[in-house]
Amino acid sequence: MTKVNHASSRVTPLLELRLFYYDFLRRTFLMEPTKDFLVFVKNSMIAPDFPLASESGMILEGVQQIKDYLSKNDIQSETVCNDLHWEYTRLFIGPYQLPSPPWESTYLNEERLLFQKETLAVRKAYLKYSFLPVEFGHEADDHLGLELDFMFRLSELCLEDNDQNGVDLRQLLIDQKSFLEEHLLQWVPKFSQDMIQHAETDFYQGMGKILQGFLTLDLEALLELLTINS
Amino acid sequence: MSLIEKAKSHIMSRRSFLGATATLAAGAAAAVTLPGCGLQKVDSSVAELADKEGEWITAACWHNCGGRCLNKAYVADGVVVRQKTDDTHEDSPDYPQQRGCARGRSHRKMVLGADRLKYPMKRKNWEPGGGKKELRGKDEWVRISWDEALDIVASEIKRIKEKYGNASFFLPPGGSGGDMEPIRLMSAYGGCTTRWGDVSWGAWPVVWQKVTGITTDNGSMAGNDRFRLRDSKLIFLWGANPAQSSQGTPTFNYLQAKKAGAKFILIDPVHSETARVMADEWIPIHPATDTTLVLGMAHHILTNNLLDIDFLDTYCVGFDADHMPDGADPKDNFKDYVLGTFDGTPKTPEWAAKICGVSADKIRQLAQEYATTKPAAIITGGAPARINNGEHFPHAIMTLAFMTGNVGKPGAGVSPNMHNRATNAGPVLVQPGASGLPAIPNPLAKSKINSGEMWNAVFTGKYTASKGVQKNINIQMVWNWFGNTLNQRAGTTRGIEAHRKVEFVLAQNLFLSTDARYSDVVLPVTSQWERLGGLLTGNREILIYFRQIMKPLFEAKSDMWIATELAKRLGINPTKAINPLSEAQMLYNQIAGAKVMKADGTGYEKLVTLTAEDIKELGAKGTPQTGRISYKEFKEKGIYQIPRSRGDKLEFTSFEDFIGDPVGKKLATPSGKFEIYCDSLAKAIEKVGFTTKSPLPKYEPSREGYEDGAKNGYPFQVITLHYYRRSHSTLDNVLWLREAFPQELRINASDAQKLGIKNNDIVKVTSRHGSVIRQAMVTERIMPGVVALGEGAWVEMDEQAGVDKAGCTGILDGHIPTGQGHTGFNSCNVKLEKYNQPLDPDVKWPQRIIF
Ligand code: SF4
Repeated sequence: MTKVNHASSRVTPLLELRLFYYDFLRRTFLMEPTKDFLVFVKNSMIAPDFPLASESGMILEGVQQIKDYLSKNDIQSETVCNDLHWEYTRLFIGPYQLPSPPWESTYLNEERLLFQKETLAVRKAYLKYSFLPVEFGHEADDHLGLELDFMFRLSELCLEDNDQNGVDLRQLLIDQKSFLEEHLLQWVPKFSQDMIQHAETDFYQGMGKILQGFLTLDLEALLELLTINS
Repeated sequence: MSLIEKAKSHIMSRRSFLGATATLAAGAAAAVTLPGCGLQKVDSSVAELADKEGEWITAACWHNCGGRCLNKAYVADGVVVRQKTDDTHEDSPDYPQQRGCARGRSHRKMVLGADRLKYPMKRKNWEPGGGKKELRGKDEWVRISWDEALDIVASEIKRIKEKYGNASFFLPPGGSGGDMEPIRLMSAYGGCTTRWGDVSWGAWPVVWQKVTGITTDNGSMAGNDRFRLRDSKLIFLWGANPAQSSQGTPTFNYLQAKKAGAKFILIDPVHSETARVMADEWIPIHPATDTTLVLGMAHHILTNNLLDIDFLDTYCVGFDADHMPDGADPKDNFKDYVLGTFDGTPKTPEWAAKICGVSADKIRQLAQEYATTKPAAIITGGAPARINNGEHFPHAIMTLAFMTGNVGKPGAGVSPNMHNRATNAGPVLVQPGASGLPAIPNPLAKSKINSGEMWNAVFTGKYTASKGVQKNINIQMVWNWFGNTLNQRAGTTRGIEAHRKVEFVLAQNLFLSTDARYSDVVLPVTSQWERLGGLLTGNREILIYFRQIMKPLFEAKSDMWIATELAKRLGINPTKAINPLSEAQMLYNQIAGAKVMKADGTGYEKLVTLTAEDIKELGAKGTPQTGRISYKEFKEKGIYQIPRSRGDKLEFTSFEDFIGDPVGKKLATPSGKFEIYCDSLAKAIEKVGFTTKSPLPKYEPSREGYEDGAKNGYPFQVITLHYYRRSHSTLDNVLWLREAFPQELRINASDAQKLGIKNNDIVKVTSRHGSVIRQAMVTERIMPGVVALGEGAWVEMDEQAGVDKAGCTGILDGHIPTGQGHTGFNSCNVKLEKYNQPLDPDVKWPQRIIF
């Protein structure tokens, strides 16, 4: 197995973009939108082309919708913030029936229950890298935001100096690929459909599309990275 | 181009756009902080623990809460990670899941609370014989060893026995269940004085038993089962709030009756949670005056030809002069009382309206509707009869049902079908076997003091044994366990004084509850989660098998262990007298003896199949047996729920047999009929020795009832609610529950306005017996003139100001013995004033953590 010092290697840009995407997405799904977050989204949209958008119709559409939303709505205004906040609450928190519950187990087991065997499987994956949810035991481990945060953390590790922390890049890539295949891609396609269908703002419809588009793309990216690192 | 190349060119163009130094990832992420809700790095020991596969174990929710649900704990390596409730089968109206309430689901927060008592402890200034007794409740605590604690207790018991005799030990049992271990021990040691008097069911038990001749029930098992309720066209929930007092399935069951077309009328000073869900009509009423509403309705029915004369003639005595029992004065009949023939006061709707606060027109409408819509059921809670000298209400309301023939027919009925029996009338369908623990008779069984006299007796040295018989008593030791007697009986203010007077006070508890707080020595006990396991009953269709969840916390021990160790020190052979059976054997006995009703309703069969291996696993001795389900299934599911369906042989309506055959199946009353004129009831009440009751249902104002307050400077009535936060006083300390349910004082908006009280203002509530302060909840959902407070808050005295900050209703309620010796929590008058000191929300109060 080769250990590449990829800080200067040719894969770094892709690793960086993946880090950006997972950061972007985990922030979108971990919690209700804050003003800071909205500024961050807006800034990410300023550049002429959103990274890798041209590679995925879904991402492209999503980015366009969010840009439209941002051009029509002033994110500094209380009303806009409140609208988005309510949209997030309605889609992912409750109190009423959730149109798109953000937990893997609700999609993968018939009873749509939380804290099921999927939760434990996800936890096992986290524990391999000694991660646990801050709210361990209270918030189910298989929340979308946490799964994305996990991908973000591993993407971060990919960019760190492997010689020092003793983690093998190839192994990191393999683990990310399996997590993507065994977990995120098992349920996000259905989830993002629900979300796109039920979101009332272009903002969250767009986010649903970027999520779906990127995860599909990332599987390709991981395959490519693994061929190079084999 | 590959993605790798695409990325490269993107970054290149991006850098030219943003400037060469800005890497995309770092630039984006650093700008916004991510609040603490994602993943975190943990150390390897935590990781290892979290990785352990756990097991769902049925966990006891053992409280006297009015419900009974299946609660499970996910236990990994002895750690209770989380809880869930019944998912053993699909939920449906006919076969509902037994799902837990907020309390049951926070149970982990109770059992594993930081405020659990961890070690035996004694009061700092304690000395043999007392030692600054006035400091009880205020003194500091000193941690001691079990040996020292047990030695202190044993030597005080010996000393007091020698000096004052066994009757000076006062062991007031409280709550339900529990094996009464301290009483076992003291019975083996020569006996002790105990407490008597109904707390929950109000004045129902004796009235029900005398009027119907049924002595095995207090009325709460009577009425319709949940299927027959769907036959009702009209249901009065009279002072009944199952959504709060009977959590679990009852409200769901009532909803099925509503879906099937029943109209619901709720009579209650409070627009309760049940009213919110169920009420087609809400009739607010002054507390302790329900009897007048009944009599006003009776007057309308009587004077408008709405009587079911056949029913009265066939099944009742005492309605009119022609149907009186032998030896009774014919003038003393119910009809003439209502018409006012001899006392000159017809009990007209107008007469009733002046007292109960329901308009005369409304009373007529209710009477008309009740008498013409059949079948109609009247279901009451304990509350309207939980008043001083409250026997008339149950008697009157039963009579109302007799007048319209609304008894003994599916969907009809009149009963206090409440607590965990609500919507589940009828014989128990599945039940545990006996543990086999032999009873130890108390040599001083007759030394029993009524709840309404017990604390006074500490000072007066006297108590009422029966009519005209006062007995001497010299209480010198109070021993509290299992219940929370000082907190949960009326007269808490007097009780605290009594606790400061006697020579020794001992408590065993999970927490520094009120009982424990005012003690000299406190012994930490284990919860059911830390014991071997057991069976729990609730509604008549289920039996729950809970198992041990975790090891005893710190130095906590079981009540039986404590009794056993004390026995050794008192020279009693513990295995012979106190504790002859192992915990395992008692559990096995209950399982092996469990039985379930056969599908045809003709009798019981064994519930559990036990193989030789099962018995071995249980660690008991016994013979294998065959039952309806395997031991493995019972253990894994943790519950057996009997299959039910509409039209099955297990449906139930009380008195069907008597109505079908009034001669062959006559009642066990002296007349063989329902007794509207009930001499045996009058005699029974008289014999108790506190107050008298006429053989007829009449209106006699309660002591400290509605009429009494206005003229004596206490213009408001306070009623006590079963409160979501706790089961009586249990679970009151759980922070989650404190946050969700703040123990508010409900007050009507018009009253609040007159007093200048706004929402969340602190209000001082003062009765003749004590004062509490609480934050106001200003609402239209309560009758003007009435305030309501949840019962069970743990007393927190501000001794200087003389107020209880927690809002314990026992502080407000008087220490008053009346009627059959029940406690009259809902006849109590208060005055209100705005209080000018702040009061932190309960959830912010320091927990009672001693060590
Ligand atoms: S209703 Fe009673 S048994 Fe059921 S969860 Fe609540 S406290 Fe526990």
